[in-house]
Amino acid sequence: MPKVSVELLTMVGAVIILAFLGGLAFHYLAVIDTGAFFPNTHQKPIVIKVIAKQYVWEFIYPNGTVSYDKVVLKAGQPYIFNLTSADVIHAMYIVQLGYKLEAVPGYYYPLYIYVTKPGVYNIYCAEFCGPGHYTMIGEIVVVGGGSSS
Amino acid sequence: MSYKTLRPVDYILWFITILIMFFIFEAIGDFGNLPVSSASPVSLYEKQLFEYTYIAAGGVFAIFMGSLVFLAGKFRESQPSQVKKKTDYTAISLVLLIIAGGVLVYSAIPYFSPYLPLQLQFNMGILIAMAMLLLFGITLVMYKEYYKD
Repeated sequence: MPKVSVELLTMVGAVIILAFLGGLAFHYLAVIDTGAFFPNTHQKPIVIKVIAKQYVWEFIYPNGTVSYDKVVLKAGQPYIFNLTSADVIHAMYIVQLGYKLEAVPGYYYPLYIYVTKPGVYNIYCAEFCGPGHYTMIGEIVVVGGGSSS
Repeated sequence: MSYKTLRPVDYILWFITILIMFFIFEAIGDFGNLPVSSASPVSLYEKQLFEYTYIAAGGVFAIFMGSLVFLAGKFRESQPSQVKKKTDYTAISLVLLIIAGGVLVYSAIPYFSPYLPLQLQFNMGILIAMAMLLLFGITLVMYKEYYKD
């Protein structure tokens, strides 16, 4: 029986661990980027347009209602934030929910939002967008039931 | 110069050193358990991925640091005991500084949170200032070791 060296075991072990972590990361990335984690129910995702501008987050609900720096969602309901920017590059960062996405002028990027626990979650701008960057703070209010707008 | 070889008991001690290093690493990072909300599937994915990555990193750290500590101790240069040595202030200072560093890290553990309340941020600032002082102390001791005049 051939003798297996420690060096070979170390290399093979490292490759296996890295392949496992890389595979898992790519899988989760694909799931997050396509919204495949939405539950298989008959609930259609509600699309909310989000326009980032110096130094405010503008939310436009499907019925045309506009709100600034605050959006109210329903727990257990899937949403798609159609994210864009009106001026410079911003980034929507919702720390507690693990979301971060760039808002680029002229492009619309979908951010698939699904929150299971009611609460208030902070929104920060994670891309330096000007002298008032630090004031660009909003919040997502997730309620347990009732209307979302 | 003495030529030492590894006995079977040394391999056991080597392995125990690696295990100790692994558990120290994991205890510092709470076994990769991120103190963030699990209010959305995305944050759950991120928590899980971070946990796996942290545990794997703990394995790599343990193998390298455990081997370093064990082999450095095992194959250290020994000197005849009858020769009267001068008091080694560098060694004494380094041990004291390392102990101070350990105490500092232990004191800072409660502050390792992204949601640190405002009233605790002053304490965090003091700890960071002490850490910088400690780094300065270690740099000075090492400098004096090499440039004694």
